[in-house]
Amino acid sequence: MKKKNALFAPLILTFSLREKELSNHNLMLVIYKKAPKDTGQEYPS
Amino acid sequence: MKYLAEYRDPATAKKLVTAIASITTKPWNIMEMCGGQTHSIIKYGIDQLLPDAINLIHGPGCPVCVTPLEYIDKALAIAQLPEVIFCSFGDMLRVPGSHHDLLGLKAQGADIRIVYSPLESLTIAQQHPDKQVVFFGVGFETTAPATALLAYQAKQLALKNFSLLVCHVRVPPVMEALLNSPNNQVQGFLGAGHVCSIMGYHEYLPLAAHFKMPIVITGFEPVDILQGIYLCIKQLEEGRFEVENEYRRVVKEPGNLPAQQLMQTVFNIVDRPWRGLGNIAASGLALTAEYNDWNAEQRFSVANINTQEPAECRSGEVLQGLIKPAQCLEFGTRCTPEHPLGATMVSSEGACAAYFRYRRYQNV
Repeated sequence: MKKKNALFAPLILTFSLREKELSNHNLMLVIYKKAPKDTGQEYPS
Repeated sequence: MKYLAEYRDPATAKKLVTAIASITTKPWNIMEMCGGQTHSIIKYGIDQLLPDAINLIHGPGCPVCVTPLEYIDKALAIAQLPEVIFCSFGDMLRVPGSHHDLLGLKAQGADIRIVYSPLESLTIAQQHPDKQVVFFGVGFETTAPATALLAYQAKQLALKNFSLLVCHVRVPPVMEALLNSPNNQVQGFLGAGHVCSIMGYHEYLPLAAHFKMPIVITGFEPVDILQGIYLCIKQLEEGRFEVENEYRRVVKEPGNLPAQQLMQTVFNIVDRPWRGLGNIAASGLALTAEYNDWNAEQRFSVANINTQEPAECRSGEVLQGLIKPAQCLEFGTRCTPEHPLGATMVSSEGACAAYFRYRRYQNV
């Protein structure tokens, strides 16, 4: 498992950077999705 | 779960979609007034299920999004004072002010706390008698009673180290302002269910009659929204303009009378600027003179801060329904939930944030 994690970590990093770069041109690369930050209670409508 | 699962039932939703298609003969523009409804529409793809002739316009129904920049700047001016503990709900922290945001101030050392209930800030004030505790009261009639209760209790407890920065707004005046606008495209409204659970819907009767405008008080689940759209289209097609209540399991015509009474005790109706829409007469709620001792604007002398909206963010056009979020050139590029240019991208109820979350890859 350690080997797998070591293999995937740089890939995930690459994809996250790649997504950021590509999103500037509105292209799609749904490989990595960042979880939204928990900001607690929001002002409800 | 009762009152929830049946309102997410796909078979019922399909029947309503078919019924809407069968009665629609002309193009119609319908505005949903509530950010929660906008979020549901985009999340469930309701607009994509409807006939092309029906255009849903996302109205100014997100509380954080419509809070004017000058109030964000007032909050920042107060929060950076060393003697202040500033309390706010979480989504306001990343809304950009003129120069920075509350989260940035917090990172620099300001004591800014995310609370889960307005009353939590009262407890903080009691625990820290050497500090000035301020709560940022923002939103529509839905949340105004909680702020009113907070002010009422602070007065009852004679708390000297507690105050409120109040920027509550009222829905009927903004609907009237939108309908009076020369750019108005709205032909029917889905009324905000939560607001009406407090205020009832008698305030909407003269609006519907004067502007010949169907108003359907609508809930937030997919079946609620489809039923609201069906009732609205039916009125439009039949040439009727009435107030109908789709959200009967929650909303009654008189509303919540004790909550309204408390609001009348604590608040005055005042003119208020709305982000992207400008000043709207009688659209705000402010603390009455009796509560001046708990008014943060008076206590910290920030009443004269008056900020102009920046031109680069087109949230005003989004809030008026003049453009869809994806039509803004900054959408998803310079403006993202992580780095928002304006409030509509910050709060999860904001139209830009909903499009970013569910639609950003759609047109690839």
